[in-house]
Amino acid sequence: MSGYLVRRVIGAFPTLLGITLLTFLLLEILPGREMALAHAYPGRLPSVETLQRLRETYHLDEPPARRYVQWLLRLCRWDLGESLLDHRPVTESLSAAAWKTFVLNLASLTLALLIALPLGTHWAGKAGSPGEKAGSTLLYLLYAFPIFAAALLLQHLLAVRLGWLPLQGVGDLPASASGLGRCLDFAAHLVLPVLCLAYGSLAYLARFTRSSVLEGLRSGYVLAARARGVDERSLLWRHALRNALVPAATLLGALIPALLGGSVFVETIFSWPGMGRLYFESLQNRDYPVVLALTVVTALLTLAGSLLADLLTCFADPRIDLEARAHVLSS
Amino acid sequence: MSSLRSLRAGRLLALAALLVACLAPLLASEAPLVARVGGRLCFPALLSYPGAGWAACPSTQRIDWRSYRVSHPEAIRLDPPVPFGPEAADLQAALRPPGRMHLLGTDSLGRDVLARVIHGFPVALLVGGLATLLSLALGLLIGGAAGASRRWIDLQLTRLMDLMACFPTLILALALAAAAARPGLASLVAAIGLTRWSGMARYFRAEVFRQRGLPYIDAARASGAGPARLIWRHFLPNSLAPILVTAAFSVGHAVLLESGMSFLGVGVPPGTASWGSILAEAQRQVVPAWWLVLFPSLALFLTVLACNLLAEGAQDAAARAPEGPRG
Repeated sequence: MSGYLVRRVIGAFPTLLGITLLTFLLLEILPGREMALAHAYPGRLPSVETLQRLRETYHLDEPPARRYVQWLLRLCRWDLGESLLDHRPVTESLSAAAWKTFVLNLASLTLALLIALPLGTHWAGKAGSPGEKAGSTLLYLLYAFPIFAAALLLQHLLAVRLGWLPLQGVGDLPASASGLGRCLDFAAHLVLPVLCLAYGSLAYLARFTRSSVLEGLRSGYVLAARARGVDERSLLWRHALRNALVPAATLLGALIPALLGGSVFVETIFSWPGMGRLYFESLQNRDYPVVLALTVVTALLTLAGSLLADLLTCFADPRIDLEARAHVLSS
Repeated sequence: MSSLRSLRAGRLLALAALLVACLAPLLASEAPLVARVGGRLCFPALLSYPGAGWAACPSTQRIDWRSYRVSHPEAIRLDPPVPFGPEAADLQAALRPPGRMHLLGTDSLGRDVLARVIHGFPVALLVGGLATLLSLALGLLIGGAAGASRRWIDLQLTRLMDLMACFPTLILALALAAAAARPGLASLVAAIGLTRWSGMARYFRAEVFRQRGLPYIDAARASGAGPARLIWRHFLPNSLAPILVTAAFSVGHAVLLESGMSFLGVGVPPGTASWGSILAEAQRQVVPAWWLVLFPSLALFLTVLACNLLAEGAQDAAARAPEGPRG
């Protein structure tokens, strides 16, 4: 297995290089870069000389291929340049934002899993009952509900109308407040964004768990266990559920890009200072070192996510021989 | 939910959405359906359709129907169900909650929300449909090429698919939309379509691989069919059902993406009625207006639901149908 992982990581390098190349090309065609540069140095309309000087400062007069290589070398040293807007190093604002997004996504994924796995299993055991039918239909409907609309509705209902939860941001209390108070405040601000980000994956995961547990219940080893006299409860929760965990692990990897995309909406609506909001704002401001950095980092995270999903799959089912599977897939 | 029921419900919802999209100019418009101007009957609401010049009223200049309505009330013979256009502003009626005059309320410029929601249907379905067609064409082309060509080319194309799958769709679509020379519906379609083909390509490639060893492919190859003919006449028809299922899901996703991008302000051009832009309008209000959130969300939800139901129903129906090569 470790051999497979090493090969998998090495195999990811061309993809990695491709990610940087594609992102760089995309940013090459993004218009208005010189104007953004000029904007970064406030003053009146920039003269031709100023623009020329700016082009030289940012090496825009050099051929793109050379700039790409230089950028790549700096990327290897984790030097992502500085923002055109506030001249802060991109790595600084990136790590501040990444932490916020990580908390948000981890919390919502945990919430979704904690509800979806037991719920899906429970429903698989009660397949066909009226409660199960109503619940599945409800989840099905939820899955089609757009995340930004849900965020606006929940914000309106829970924050504006009822005033139970804070409207937006990460915290209202000053830095002088006690540690516990600030933690609670942070948690209260976390509730709405996490709910919005979680319900989509919750619906998806619960439906998925239900169908794969059902499949497990119909399989031979469950029949054998039933014949041995294992009671229905442990058939469901110990035998069939464990079988369902394997495909669920691969799904987690696939969920990461969707979660990161959803973060753009949720963070914009709730003014959550994470990567999604930073990305969108930088795109609007044509702050292109930041856009470049964020696009690459997002794609790298997705790549890492799919690697992690493979690892989880091995962990959940030691019988799976990924090397053999990779061989079958590629031949 | 049984597959037949979901298929039926999906078909019903999708048909209703299509109908509203096609009839939007007749359902909500400032211009009356039938009017009598200068002693002749004319059908001004029809003018939104191409090639409907014959329906124009005999007048030397374009009639402003809002003032004409007041000055010549006798000329109007039949009004549309919603007598407001999607872009007709009326600042005196700004931010009205749902009422008798405006069934679903008005936005901050006094535009009728129902009219805007109705006119959001053609935008959503057009962008969603065209973007899906684009990604379908790209996916089938690249996936088919990868499946049918030499190992080295296949490897490179597969790498490209893996690469595309690493970028979250929204992130890439936002960047593409920002890079578009002229913002508009065409660049929106391109931005959505260009980001969503990799899943389809991967699927079709696997499908080609699966079928490659089957007897009918060997037979076709023996009778001299080249790779293009093999893909078009044999691989494609034999994987049509699952491809259509994926396409139906894809339309729903594309509609979501269009609304999402319009919500963020990088989608449809400003002023155009889109569900996403109504929601964006709602977010800008200081005084919260729930009707600006609820109604466009419902339209969006029902459309996406229709696509999902159609796709899933078709999937189950295809799984039950007797399978056999038709190449």
